[in-house]
Amino acid sequence: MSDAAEGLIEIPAGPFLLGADYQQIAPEIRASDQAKCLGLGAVLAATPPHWVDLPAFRIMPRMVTNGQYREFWTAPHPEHPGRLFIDDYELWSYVWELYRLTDVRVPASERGSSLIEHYGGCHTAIDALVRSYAYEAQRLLLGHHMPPTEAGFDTVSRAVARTFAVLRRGLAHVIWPGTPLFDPGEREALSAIGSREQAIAEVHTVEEAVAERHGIATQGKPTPLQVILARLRRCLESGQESFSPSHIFRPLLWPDDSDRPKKGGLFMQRVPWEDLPVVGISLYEAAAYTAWLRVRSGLSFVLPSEAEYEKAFGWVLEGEALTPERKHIYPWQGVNSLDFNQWFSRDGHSVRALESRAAAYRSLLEDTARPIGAHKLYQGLGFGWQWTRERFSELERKYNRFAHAGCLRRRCGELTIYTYQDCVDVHCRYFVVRGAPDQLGGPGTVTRRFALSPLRGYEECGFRCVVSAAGDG
Amino acid sequence: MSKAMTCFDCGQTLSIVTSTSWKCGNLLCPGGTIKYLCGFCKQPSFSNKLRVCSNRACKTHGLRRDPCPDCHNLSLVTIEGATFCINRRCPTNAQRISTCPACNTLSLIHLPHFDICIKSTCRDLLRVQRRQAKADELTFIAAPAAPASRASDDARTPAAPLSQPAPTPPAPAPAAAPPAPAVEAAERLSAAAPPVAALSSEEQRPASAEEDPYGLSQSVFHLTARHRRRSAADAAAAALAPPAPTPEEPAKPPQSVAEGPAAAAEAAPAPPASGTPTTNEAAPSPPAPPPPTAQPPATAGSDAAALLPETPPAPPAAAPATPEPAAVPRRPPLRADSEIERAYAFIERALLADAERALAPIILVFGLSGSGKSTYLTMLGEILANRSSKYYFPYPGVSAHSIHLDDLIDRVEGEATPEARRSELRRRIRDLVYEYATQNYEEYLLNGAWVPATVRESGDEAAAHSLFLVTEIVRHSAVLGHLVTIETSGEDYLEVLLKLGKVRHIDELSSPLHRVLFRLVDAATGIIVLLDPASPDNDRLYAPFFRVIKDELEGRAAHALAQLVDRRLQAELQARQSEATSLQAVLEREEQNAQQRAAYEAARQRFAQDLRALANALASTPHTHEGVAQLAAQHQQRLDELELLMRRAAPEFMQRAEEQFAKHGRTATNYLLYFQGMLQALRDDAVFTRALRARIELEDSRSRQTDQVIARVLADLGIPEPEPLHEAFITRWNGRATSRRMERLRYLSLVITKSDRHPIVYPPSDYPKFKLPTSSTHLSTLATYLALLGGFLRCYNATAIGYAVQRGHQYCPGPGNSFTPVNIVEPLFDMLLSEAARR
Repeated sequence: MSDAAEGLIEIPAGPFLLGADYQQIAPEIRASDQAKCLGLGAVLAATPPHWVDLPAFRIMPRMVTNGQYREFWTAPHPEHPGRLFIDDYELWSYVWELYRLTDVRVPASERGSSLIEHYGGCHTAIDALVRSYAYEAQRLLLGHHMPPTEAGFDTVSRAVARTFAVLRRGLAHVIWPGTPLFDPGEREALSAIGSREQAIAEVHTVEEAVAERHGIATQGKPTPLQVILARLRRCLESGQESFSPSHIFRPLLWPDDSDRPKKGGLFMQRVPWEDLPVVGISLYEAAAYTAWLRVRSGLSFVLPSEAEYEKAFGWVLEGEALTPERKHIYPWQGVNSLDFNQWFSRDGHSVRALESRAAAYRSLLEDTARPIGAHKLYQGLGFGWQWTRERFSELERKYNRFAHAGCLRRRCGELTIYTYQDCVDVHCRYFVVRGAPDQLGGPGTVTRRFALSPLRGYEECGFRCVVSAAGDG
Repeated sequence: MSKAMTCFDCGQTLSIVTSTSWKCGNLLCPGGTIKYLCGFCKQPSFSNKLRVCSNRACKTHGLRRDPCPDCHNLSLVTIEGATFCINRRCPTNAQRISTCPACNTLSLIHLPHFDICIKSTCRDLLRVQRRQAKADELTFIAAPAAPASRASDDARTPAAPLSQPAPTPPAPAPAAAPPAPAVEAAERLSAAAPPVAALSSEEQRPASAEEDPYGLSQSVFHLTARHRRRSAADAAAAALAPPAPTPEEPAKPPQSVAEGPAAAAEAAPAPPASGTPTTNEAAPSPPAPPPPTAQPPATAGSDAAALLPETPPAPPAAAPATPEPAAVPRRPPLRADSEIERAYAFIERALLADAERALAPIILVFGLSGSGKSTYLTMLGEILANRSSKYYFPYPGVSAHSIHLDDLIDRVEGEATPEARRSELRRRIRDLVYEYATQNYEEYLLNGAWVPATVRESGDEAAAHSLFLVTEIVRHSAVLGHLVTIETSGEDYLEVLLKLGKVRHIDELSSPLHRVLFRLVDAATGIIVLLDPASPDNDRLYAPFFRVIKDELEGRAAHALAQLVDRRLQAELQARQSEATSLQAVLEREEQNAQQRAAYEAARQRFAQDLRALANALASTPHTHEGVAQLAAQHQQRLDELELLMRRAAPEFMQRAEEQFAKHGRTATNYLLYFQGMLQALRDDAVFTRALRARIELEDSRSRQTDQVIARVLADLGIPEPEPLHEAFITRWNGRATSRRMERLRYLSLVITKSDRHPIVYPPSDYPKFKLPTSSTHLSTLATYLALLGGFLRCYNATAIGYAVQRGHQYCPGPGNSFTPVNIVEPLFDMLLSEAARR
């Protein structure tokens, strides 16, 4: 089993160019873009260049793999033999405090309107995750959010309230440090459930209603909500009263019965499942992994910031002069001048398809890697979005945060160099992801950013860790 | 240029977007981010989202205004259980409005249980005035506000008691002048008259079809003040007779005459109720039909966007060796017998026709169901609205100005345009950027939802779902052009697509919308075809469309290539002559000249001999179809050559001959006479000499290996040679008329949408090869043709938002600031800039 703390690549401190300008990228890339109408200018315009100072950090050469994550998911608690590490209330309380949410506005089914999800009273990240799924079920089935004091008013609303009350009760040990403090509506819902069979029936009712609304009752890929409901039902069917997060919130794409990888064909060797990046985990689960690494290694592991990701994959570390030419928009730039779509996002070049051809997959890894001295950074682009620890401000556009008068800055010749600071506004409901999945519109670049809800796992989103001064706090 | 104001909902700073709309900097503003000018307090306080004025000082504060189904303004209110429109110009108020005793303005609405004044400055604004006695009510209602000349209209007003007091004259206009001179009086009368009356004078009509080939009349499209005065004078003369409204035109309420535009501007409280497709259209009576002179060119079509340049398209340079193609009959006039066609006719007059009466370039956006037209157009408008402040917009100085429809109507059809007509146009024409796109962006995309598919319009036009979206594009403060798109359902496009290859005449289409689409396709300068990458039918459905385009463009491409080849041959000839500087070269040139003289004489002898042989053959041919067939079998090449040479040597003669031939029928006798007439004309020495030179020129060009020249020309243009063009391609079209369909088309863009969810073809130029195998054969040829015409065929992988994230069971837009639209404006501006450079 590989050790995540080994092989970290050192990125020295110093200023670098965050973002990029279309006019300053390599001429051959620009020429290719114009000849092929790829739209690179539109992608780069969202992140205009700014010089920023960044402390030194160390970064994982690859995204966290299924194997590494499974190790965390099954790791024993260091102080409580017989318990899993992930069953510790402190762990989920810690990551919740790191990346707490308050109120989240989400689109409602009615056109032009929105609903508010309240997370201010959540105790841990698991609590927030349960509440988030409850909100989703309410929106989907009822069209609105029920207050926690409401135990339901008809069959479906009662089933929703009871289902998530049961789920919250089962996860109570990772939600409350001591005695559970249920809401009045939850208490009423729980008191109405006389037996396990009834609880299963309520979950089944919700599952059927969700499937009916999704129109995929018997076929199609299940949604995260359906996955969670199915896992809850199975837990109840197996006679469990208390659930481990590993039963409910394991990565969405992990098979429930067996996490063994598929075998390759007769003449093709499949990439070992353990070596593939873990995807389908929420920000909080990723953060919990970094917390586990910290406990295990003593290093200040943390999720990377936007700037740390971008510097590692897009800045030429050799050289003294601060010139835009040192900024690369592809990790492999400098090795070759091929653009993103040469490997990704096009017919016949799916990364998923290559997972069944280990040799081709390894070749892709090597071709798209970024050399850092004698080492290489892999999976910087095209292998999935990657969680960062930074919040996504919906008010920010084109890095206008640097136009703020309060930004720390210094002059270096003609350049203004800002001291990079993470976006930590607790009112932001999204977190930034970097790295680009295999399939996206326009070319992926190391400057490209997107925003995802931290309470969901996404099929196209994994993560990697850094050891950074930010983790010392 | 921005004017900062404070939001009445959240206190944030407002930035001005248009003269009537502002944008709040707070994305979470409870009243929505777009504020409109409240028609009552004149503050940017009207929230389209809440549909109330947020200004607490406003007398309408808290009063919800819903879309009025008749005037389409957000002006329908409910007070004490009575629902009515507070737009004084709304047709529903025409019969129940009278002068308010408090403000002395025509603004008092009579409702079943009370009266209420809707004049913004009135002290009794929206104050319920209960009637004391029925007698008072009757007295009040009966007070006519019409001038005496409208007595015939008033006579139709029911329940007008005879025992009323003297009629109260209408309130004078604010800037009412002393006794108006005759011209002003005439103007007023003219303004009150319907547009058809203003256009009735003969001098406003084009003199002939040649002067106005498309039937567009400048006087119709650009009614200058002089025109208006002249029309007014005509109307004044007509006013000597009793004014009789035309049967088609409903009598205009007298209030409109007296009120003028100032009151109208006030009465409409804020934005038109755009994006409310459930509005009922049945109410307005049909306006007067458009004048017969306002006939746009026939076109065929689908989705469209258009740009109007400052200058009309320059006529193509005359080819040195290629005669102009013969004319073909003009298309029939537009049958403006439906609302959508009338709206299109208005757009043509108001936007697409410039001062030179030429149609401006039109760029169509064509897409079937599911191709993402609505989302594409929404993001297109959103990018044009915000430009480089939010998006990638590498077009410095270019911006979009909103279209004020009422201003356009005033300019094109006069300020006295009936409200019914205005209402009709408002239903069908919207501002793309600041109405349609802004509304859709905020309601859908910003809210994590896709713009819903456009509903197909039912035949009775009870709801207006098919809209023209327009905007004005300026560059460095000068009008660069106008963008016009039509937003309609994909099903309509599909039907037009299927018929494009079959229908030869516009009248074969029964649906008005289809006819408009057909015209738009035919009028297009560029077509943007949106392709859904998930659709398996793209190739099957579009192949006939591309084939038709290719066929229609072939003649024009041949003529363009002939011109290029001629120029190249001349240039090469001149280069050779300029090289002759040395004595040796001079001697060689002298020798060449002597050889040429000898060759000329020999050619002359041969030509005369050939003509004699042909004359004998014609003379001996019986005037039967069998005889003609036999003649053609033996002498077809000579006959073709004769026709070709005569077109070059005597084009006027040939034109007359062809007209006669067509006029008297293509009988065997006429066929023989047609060629005998040519031989007769060749007895003229001048004609013979010109024909001989044309023949030598043709032979000479062949001897210079024209095919090689063609290859060099194509290489210079960077045109790939999917199927090498030969001299035969040129000669096949030499002297032949080119098609009048799609005669302006120079650009075709295939935009593959949803590239964030579907694997792309890389590079996109390979898309036809891999995904449209049947169409690609046509497209490769079409690319050559378009390049010869100065345009291009391009493919783009596009995405409106950059990345769609899974939410529940579907993929939805992410947060607004994460949008990375790729290749949304590029297809459009690539065409526009190329067209601008070409001009």
